[in-house]
Amino acid sequence: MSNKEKQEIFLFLPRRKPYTEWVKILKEDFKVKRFYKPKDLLSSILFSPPQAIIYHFQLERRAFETLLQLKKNFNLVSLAIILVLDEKGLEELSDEQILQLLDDILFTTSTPLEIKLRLKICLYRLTRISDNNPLTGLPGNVSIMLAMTKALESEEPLAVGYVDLDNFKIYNDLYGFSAGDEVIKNLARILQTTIFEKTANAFLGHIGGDDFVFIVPLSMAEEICKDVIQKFNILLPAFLDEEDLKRGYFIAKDRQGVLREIPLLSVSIALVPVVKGKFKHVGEVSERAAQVKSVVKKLPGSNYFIDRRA
Amino acid sequence: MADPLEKRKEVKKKIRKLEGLPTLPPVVRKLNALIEDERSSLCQIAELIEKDQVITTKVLRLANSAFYGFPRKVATVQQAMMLLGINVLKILIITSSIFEIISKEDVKLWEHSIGVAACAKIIAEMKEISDPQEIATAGLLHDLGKIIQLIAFREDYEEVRRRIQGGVPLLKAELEVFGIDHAEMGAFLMYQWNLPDRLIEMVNSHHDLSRAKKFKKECALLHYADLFVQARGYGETTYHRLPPLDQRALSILKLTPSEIKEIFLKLEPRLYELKFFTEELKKELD
Repeated sequence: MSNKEKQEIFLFLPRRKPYTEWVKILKEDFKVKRFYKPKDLLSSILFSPPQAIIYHFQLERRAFETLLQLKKNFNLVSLAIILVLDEKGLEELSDEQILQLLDDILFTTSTPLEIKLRLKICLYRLTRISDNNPLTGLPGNVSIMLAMTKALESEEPLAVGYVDLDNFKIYNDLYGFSAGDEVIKNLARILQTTIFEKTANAFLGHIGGDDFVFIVPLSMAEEICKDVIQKFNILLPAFLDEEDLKRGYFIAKDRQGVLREIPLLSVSIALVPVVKGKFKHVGEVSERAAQVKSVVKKLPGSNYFIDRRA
Repeated sequence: MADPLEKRKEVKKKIRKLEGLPTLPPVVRKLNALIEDERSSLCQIAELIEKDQVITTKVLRLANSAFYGFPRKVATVQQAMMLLGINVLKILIITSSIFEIISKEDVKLWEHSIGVAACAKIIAEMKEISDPQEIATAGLLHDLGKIIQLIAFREDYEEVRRRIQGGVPLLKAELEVFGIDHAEMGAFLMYQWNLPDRLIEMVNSHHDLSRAKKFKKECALLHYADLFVQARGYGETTYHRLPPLDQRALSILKLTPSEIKEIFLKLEPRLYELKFFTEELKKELD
């Protein structure tokens, strides 16, 4: 693993054994930055937050409280704060407000290997809990950003697909939100199976609501879209009343409050090819996708559209 | 003297690694007092921050870091404060380092920047250029490069000064010593810190409008504002005389004589108000 890909952790520990041993072993798997002045630590956290902070409780209480405040204020759920303490510290640690914001505790007597494993487990647990969508279990926005950022640098040409449902809001209003959730879960299943049956080199994330994102090799992108659309159309009747199905459209009030015929659920996919050097920021890709989306959305039924601009 | 091209690389490398810029102690004290006072509003706090280019840069950097908000979108302190809130500002101030040694001479750079911010805002309002507050921010930050020189390259900075006193024009002296001028240095740091493109372009081109690309009007505006405040004589920069006028400004943004007169009429009371602030700064530094 190159240093660039390693997760960054900040250490606020005394400059002596056993901590020097900890640092040695942590450096194998993490990008480690040590701090000795609380001010430097806080300032670095503010401007370039790490994945985790290992903080020696008995060193400096004030800075520790500020650190917790920071985590709370920014809802930095994915920033792991791990406290190092001894027996005495354990007795002093009773404030519920502190406990609420802590991710784990380590003991001054722990072995270096234990420290490393506990830290890893803690980070994995955090990503799972804080990011995955509770409905579909798919990675959420933090992971999506990471995957997209990585995709921009990929040597292999990739495609980013933005998936959403047409007329999902109407469906939710007519059938109720738990039925809506079912549709979302099933769309997630279709995406998951279609994509990962074709390639392991892919990413699927759930932005929220009926919005999904996938990243696949460009060469397979169109085929995947076709498959997803086909499977969705086959499954669709399972989610609709016979009446709507026979009629072929919903009858519902539109945004102006007028009763109208509104097309049934369909799936739209906007594909944005990504080759190295084409985009600098993730934002540029999603901007493109939004433009492509507005084209797909105008087409009736389920469709995908690929952005062919340079 | 080192090869300017090599020096340029070295300067950029050092700027890239710059963790932060120190702040004037009296500004920090004032801010703390304002924050502790429950009656003060976010707007009042923003107004004070807008008088200090270092804290302004810090606040904008934080609000624009990918981790917290929307990179390169937040261009004014007011906007940034809405995102960050008081508690975070408090932490930001706690973690700010302060200038250990600063002379009264150096405070004149602050004075000049505040003056340019005020003047830029006046022109923006007059010429109906959008978001005058953002334009004012660019005015405040336009000489950020000089602060960087002052902090990170003190010796080279003195060398530039000596050369200017020897009759070398400022930009030329900077290129000789740093291989890069203060406008580009400031813009480079702002780019590193994810500040909005419009601000960066304005700062980068304030002495050379050929660097203006997407925001020509705004850039010409800042060029005028810098010139006007120098002409009026407010604060001081390493220039001891008027910086040269970039003729391109005249065709990009036309100002009639009566408009220029009006600008100076509006500027005068603003500068007078600001003088209270800067005099207080100087007194506290004594």
